Amino acid sequence: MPSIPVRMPPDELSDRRLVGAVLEFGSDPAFRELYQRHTPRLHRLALRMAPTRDDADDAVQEAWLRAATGLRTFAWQSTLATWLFGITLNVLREQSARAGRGIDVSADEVILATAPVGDTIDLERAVRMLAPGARAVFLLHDVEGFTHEEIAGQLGVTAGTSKTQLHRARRALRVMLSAHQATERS
Amino acid sequence: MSTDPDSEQDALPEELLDRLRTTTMPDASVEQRIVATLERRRVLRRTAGRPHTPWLVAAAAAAAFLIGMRVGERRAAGAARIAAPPPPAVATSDDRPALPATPVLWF
Repeated sequence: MPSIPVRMPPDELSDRRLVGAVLEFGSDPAFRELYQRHTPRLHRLALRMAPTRDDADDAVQEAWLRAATGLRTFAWQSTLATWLFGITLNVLREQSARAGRGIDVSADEVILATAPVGDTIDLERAVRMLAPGARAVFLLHDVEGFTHEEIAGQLGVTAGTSKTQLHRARRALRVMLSAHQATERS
Repeated sequence: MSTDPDSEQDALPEELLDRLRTTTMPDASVEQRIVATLERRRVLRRTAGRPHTPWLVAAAAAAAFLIGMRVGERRAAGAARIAAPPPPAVATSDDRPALPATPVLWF
């Protein structure tokens, strides 16, 4: 009986080939291709989680160094992107802890600060005003498209916590943005 | 995107979320630093044709200079050997004139 080839999304198949080339030959072009492919998403998350652009760049750099050094231990239990996001979030969490902050996903707090009445607020600013835990879940789910199970693995929480935080984050964003729209109309 | 039905109920409008899906990259120097560090850690191998780090260029130049010096010394020694006159021949027993087989009468 002929064997049925395992069907994989082209990206993942290609990721596997590139990772294989890095592991087997130390291929510089293969690594650069992986970097170009995954960094835009990692960087936009880092930009919204880190306090400054330099911190975001540092987080992405450290995440890639850890990922490339530990590539041999990656067992393809998830996609490469899921794994890379998990590493980046760990780096961001460590960065926050060093600065005396944290990314507490189980916290009830959703909004860090409210905008002064009458102050205009755009979407980017509204996202930044979410507490780090709720912000991370919102960005991972709604912007990056990860499932609650994947987010649970990346953040070390349960899928239920991820769902709760997402719901709170969305509600907070709606409130902030509707207040902004009302201000604009008036 | 996730297809979790619980999460779709209160989702924000897709056009709003699209505004957050911007493409950004870190400064180009970040990629260079990552690759250089991974090459030092021997995770990556240097690709031929790429510019080398200055210390490596200096080391390669020094090695080439030393090799060149050794070759030069050898060549000079060879040339000196060719130019020098042959050493004086040392007399051996074979150089002595052979004695006549018959006795010579001196008187």
